[in-house]
Amino acid sequence: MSRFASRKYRFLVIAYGLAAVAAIWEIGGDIHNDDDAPTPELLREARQYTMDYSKVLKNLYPESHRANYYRGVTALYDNPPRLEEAFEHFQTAIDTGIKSDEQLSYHYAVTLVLLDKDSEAIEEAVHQWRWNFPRSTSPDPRTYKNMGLPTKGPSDESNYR
Amino acid sequence: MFRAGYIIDRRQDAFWFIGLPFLAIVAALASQRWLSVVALASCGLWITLPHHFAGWLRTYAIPDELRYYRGRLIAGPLVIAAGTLLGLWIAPITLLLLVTMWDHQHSLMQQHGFSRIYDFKAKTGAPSTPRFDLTLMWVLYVNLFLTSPFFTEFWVRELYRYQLSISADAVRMVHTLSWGITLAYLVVYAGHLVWCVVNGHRLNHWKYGFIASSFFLWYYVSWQVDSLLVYGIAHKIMHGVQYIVFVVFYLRHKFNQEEQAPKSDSSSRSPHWLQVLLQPRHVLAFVALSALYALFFQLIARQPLSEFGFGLNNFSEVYGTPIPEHGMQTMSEEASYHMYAGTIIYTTQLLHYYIDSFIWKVRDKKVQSAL
Repeated sequence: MSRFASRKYRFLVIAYGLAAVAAIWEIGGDIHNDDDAPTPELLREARQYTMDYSKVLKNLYPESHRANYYRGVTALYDNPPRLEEAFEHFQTAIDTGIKSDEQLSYHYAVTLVLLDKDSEAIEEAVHQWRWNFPRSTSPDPRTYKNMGLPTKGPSDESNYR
Repeated sequence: MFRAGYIIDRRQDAFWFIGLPFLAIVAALASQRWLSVVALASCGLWITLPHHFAGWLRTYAIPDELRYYRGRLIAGPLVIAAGTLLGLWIAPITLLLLVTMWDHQHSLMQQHGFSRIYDFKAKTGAPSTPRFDLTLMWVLYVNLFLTSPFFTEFWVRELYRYQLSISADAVRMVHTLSWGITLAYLVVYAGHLVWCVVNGHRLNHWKYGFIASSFFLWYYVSWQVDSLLVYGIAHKIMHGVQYIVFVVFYLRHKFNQEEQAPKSDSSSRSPHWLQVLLQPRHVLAFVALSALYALFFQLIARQPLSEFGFGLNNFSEVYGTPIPEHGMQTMSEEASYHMYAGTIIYTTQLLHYYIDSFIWKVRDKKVQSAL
């Protein structure tokens, strides 16, 4: 290839060269699992990474909506669940006005259902979740009434179990 | 010391290139307050897709441009489509990372390109200014990416996803280092400006206004709001609208030059339909064609119809209450799609019935005259 031609394609080569390095890392590192049922070892690893990441975030931005979300979800999936505490953290996060966090929106609604809060508050929380995330495939939070905590939601909450 | 030069003209630059970022922030904050998260996808649909369309017109619809960039315009789509397919198949996280990072680079380079045009048009800056400008852009943007709460969360999470742990103290060190480099470079850049003036090179203050307003948008939404919705909408408006405006201006200018040039080979001239479409009096036709492109793209990609209306037309809300005792969930996305289809089918049917009820009256003199 002439020098002129190689200059013309240089950018494409650099972009995809870097992507190839990242792809090798991704494939070699088993970062994602194609099986529906990941091994307990992989789940443990994923849980650890999420826990570590959330600790860093809580340390860096203790007042952020995401830090409050992680505090809430940790309380929610504790054994036994600390529902009131989870609610307080989720409420603090919601009060920042954040809308684009589906995990927060969903777990806030689930917590209201589990705490059997008044129906108006539950309806409003579910409405906000559905309004903002109409494509969500998660079950309606109200279906968790008398059923306990969700095992699968829109998030990495299983990492906290 | 200063010499003004404009991308389009003084009035239009003040609106599209200096004022627009501030309007975009207001629009994004209003969306956060009154619209749903779907508005972000709607902005992608009504702004980002049309800006792609403008780019296709500027390349593939102009024979001269197509010939000039032929190799890359043919090989590029093939390589990129194959890479995307491969990425989706074996390395989806990497594909997402590539799209995200390239988007950042692309956005930055667009603003740099506009700032280069300011110097080109005003004949300002020294021969070394482009390098200083590009470094300024990168330093400011990388600092934004590394230090803002909005992006810090993103890159720390990605590091953890790639199993590269980093402590909070290490992140703080990165922040401090980044700010140190940024402030040091700002001093170097100020020195370059002084050097330019001392050596008789003029400066285009419009360029600096443009750079300042662009970075104000990015820094403000990343530091003050920390919301994907606000950042996404503000950024899409600034990036997409400025691009469309510039493409239209560029092509109009190119067509004018073709008109004034001596009669050349007709195969190298821009198509007549495009010249007509981009005339100022046909701006609505251009907007309509761009919207049509977005519409087709949305339908081909089978994306939700609620995105057409910024989430205000969400049919899944109609049957929003589940009946858990019967194992019934709320309306699915597919079912809500059928609601849209039903609305269109029944509305057109009823409209046909209604219009026919008054346009065919034989007793009407107007109807009689055409019989």
